[in-house]
Amino acid sequence: MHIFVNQVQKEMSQPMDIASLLDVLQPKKPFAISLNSQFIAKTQYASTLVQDNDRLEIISPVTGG
Amino acid sequence: MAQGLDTDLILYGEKFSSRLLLGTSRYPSPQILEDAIDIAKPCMVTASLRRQGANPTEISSGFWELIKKLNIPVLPNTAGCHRPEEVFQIAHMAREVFETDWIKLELIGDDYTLQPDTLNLVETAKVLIKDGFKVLPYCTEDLVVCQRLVDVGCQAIMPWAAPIGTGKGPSNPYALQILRERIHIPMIVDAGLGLPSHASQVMEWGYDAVLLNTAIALAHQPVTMAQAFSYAVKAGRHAFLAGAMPAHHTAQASTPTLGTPFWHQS
Repeated sequence: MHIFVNQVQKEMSQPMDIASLLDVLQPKKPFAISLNSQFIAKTQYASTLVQDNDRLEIISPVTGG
Repeated sequence: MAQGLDTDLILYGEKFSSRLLLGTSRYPSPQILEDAIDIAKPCMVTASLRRQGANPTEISSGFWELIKKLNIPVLPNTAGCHRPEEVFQIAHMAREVFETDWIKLELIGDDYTLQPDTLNLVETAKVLIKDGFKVLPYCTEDLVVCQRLVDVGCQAIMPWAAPIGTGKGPSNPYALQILRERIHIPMIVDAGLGLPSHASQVMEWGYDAVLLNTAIALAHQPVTMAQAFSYAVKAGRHAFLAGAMPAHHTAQASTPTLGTPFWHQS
């Protein structure tokens, strides 16, 4: 199976929850997550499965006007 | 000067001693951004959210650390959102990342002018307020739209002076002045200011604060310009509080004419 993380395709052997996936990806903190354009709160990481063809976005602070 | 007359800016019940809000984009370097903020002493700085790795490192690298170091309230924006659903998603992500309920609501309706989508802005603001956000909506100077934003619970609104990044200054002075007369909650002029005199002008009209970014960031000397805007906002505010003299169509001598020697003898 494959997923997209910030529009980049990644291979996965099986579905896993977001918490486990973040352990692998190790994004720079702080960040927030959306899965298929839906915001996923931190409290939901362990209970939300990432499955085939899902699109995960990892969002971080940048300058803004 | 009207020293002693001024009061704090109050937004959603919170007091702020400065009436200047600063954007953080487009500065030549993080150090210049930091120096500009240090000298201007804004009450809030704006920030945004983007995909990790999507921007050059100089844009994102160290920004979070700088924000934490400055210890100034952050106003996250929803820049780039064209649909209410995008706004809701970014707003919730911003609340989690920045640990704040403040949100600068940007819902863009036209990419050329970056004009807000005023047809959907009010309903979007209503949903965010219901979700507990302290919404500062970026809007046009349209009186009825602003009234509706107040009706749905916005405790402050942010009409533009001109399109974002143009630096043109107030393009519709009449509408902005009428808006100030008709809307009785705090209003922050956001976008389109290019000169300190523009900031002074809208503050003289009674606007409560200004939000700007590009006018400082793209100045030849951004830190000096930040200080100039800081002075201008204070000058405009004091002028508003002091009350301007009425303008006259004809000259009125300021030096007494009674007792003028050699009066009309030549």
